[in-house]
Amino acid sequence: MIRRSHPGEVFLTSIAWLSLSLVLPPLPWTLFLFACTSAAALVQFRIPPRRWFAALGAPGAFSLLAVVPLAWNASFDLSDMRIWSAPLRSFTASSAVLLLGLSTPMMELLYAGRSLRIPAPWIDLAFLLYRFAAAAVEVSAAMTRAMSFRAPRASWRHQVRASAWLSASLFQRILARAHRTEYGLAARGVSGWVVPPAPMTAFSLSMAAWSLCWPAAVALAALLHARWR
Amino acid sequence: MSPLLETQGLGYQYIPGAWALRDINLRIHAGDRLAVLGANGAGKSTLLLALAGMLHLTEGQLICEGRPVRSRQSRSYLRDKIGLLLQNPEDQLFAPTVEQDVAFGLLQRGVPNHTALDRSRAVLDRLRISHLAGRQVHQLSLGEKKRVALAGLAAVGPSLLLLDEPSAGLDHDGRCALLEVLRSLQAGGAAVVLTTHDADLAAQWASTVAILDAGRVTAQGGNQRILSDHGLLDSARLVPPSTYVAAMALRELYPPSAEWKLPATLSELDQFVRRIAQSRPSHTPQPRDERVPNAPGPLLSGEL
Repeated sequence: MIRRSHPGEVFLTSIAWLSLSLVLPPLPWTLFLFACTSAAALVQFRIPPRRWFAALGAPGAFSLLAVVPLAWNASFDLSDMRIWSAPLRSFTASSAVLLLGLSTPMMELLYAGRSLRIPAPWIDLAFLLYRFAAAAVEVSAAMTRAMSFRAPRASWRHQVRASAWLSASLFQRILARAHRTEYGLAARGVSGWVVPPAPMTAFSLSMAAWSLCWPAAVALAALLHARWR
Repeated sequence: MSPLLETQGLGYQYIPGAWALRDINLRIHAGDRLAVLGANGAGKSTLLLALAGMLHLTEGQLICEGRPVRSRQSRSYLRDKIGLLLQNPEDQLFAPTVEQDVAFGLLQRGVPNHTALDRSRAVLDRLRISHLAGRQVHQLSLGEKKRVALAGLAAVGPSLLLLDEPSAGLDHDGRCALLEVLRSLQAGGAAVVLTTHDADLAAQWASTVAILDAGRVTAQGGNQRILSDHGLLDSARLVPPSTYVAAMALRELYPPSAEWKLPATLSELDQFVRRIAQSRPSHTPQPRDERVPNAPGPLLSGEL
């Protein structure tokens, strides 16, 4: 049976890659850091490739969009590093955070939060936001799928109209879904702060050290590279 | 002895003026098996939420073990006594693995993690689903999710289980497994109230039946009496159990069978038919094996 990583191990790895993405200069390191994070996600934490790259779509799009106002500020001089620095950093940083989010179930993250003595209301707030986000993703995916089946060859105009209808009813449906989850929580005995279950895998110091080897090696390489120059 | 749960003139409105439930009077005792039968939109799910103390009633009251449920404390006392299975099990499964999820309810009640996991394993064993223990919850089929959700409820040992359409969306095997789980839970002494529009399930499992139509209980009584009343079921837009329909047609053909108990399962119907055949001197059925070579098992097999 494949061993599932303890959230603490993933957290340390994620923090290490996140720190590197914020500290190291985006050029030439961004691509390398992204490759390392992806390798960790796909090989070490066994996140399905399709899920990993699909999840990177949103931060990728935001980073790309950020290029436009930054380029405007720099009078569209694309050789100006100020245009690329922040978007590239934010993209690699997002991928490091996604590593944690995609490899660890929410309940285990909440448990890790409790172990770190984060106040219970904050944890509950995070869980509430997660529930709404999960309901939003689930409901909108179901509605988009249903719409594509009901009007597979709709014209652009009809598609815009259908999207407007969809977004009009989306919020209500998300609320209804979230409401049902609230009933579910109450039915399971949650009457105050939720008590998340402990992870099934124990924290392994050797696994954590092994996970941190790679960011440490990259940090060392970056130091040597800087000194060489 | 006061009932486990009682409703007195219970009424609920989602929006002012539109009654979802009206004048509901139910008494549920320990060990009861009550099926609430109703068509879509009759108010079945709302009734269960009201019984679980999750709605602020518009009128009437809930009484748990002789004490009215009004304050926050009495409401949480009621919730400790009750296990509620929602129609969609995904709405109440929260932990990553089955084992952890079954322990989830115990953790919320302050049971330490290792004890909760031990009890979770014991419940999974008792309900014969221990093979699912290490599985990821999101990878389970609908039937498995329902059984896991039931195991999660059983782990906290409720006195009363409220099940919202437990057989909806299940295939034959899933239904049989669910009934097995229900029987196992009942063996522990819990009362079970389930809502359904499936009269076959009610005939097979319930001892008493209540018919819910447009938010009102129009009839309540013994399983055989209520479910053999075609007019009553028809007025509530319900279909009588198929085994009852067949047996009642046979009763007309063979009047002495009118006194016999109506069959709730296909195997009982099989026995019913054989008994008629055996008690008619002009037609004695031959043993099955001589009539049809390589015939499989009894004439009508299976639980349902």
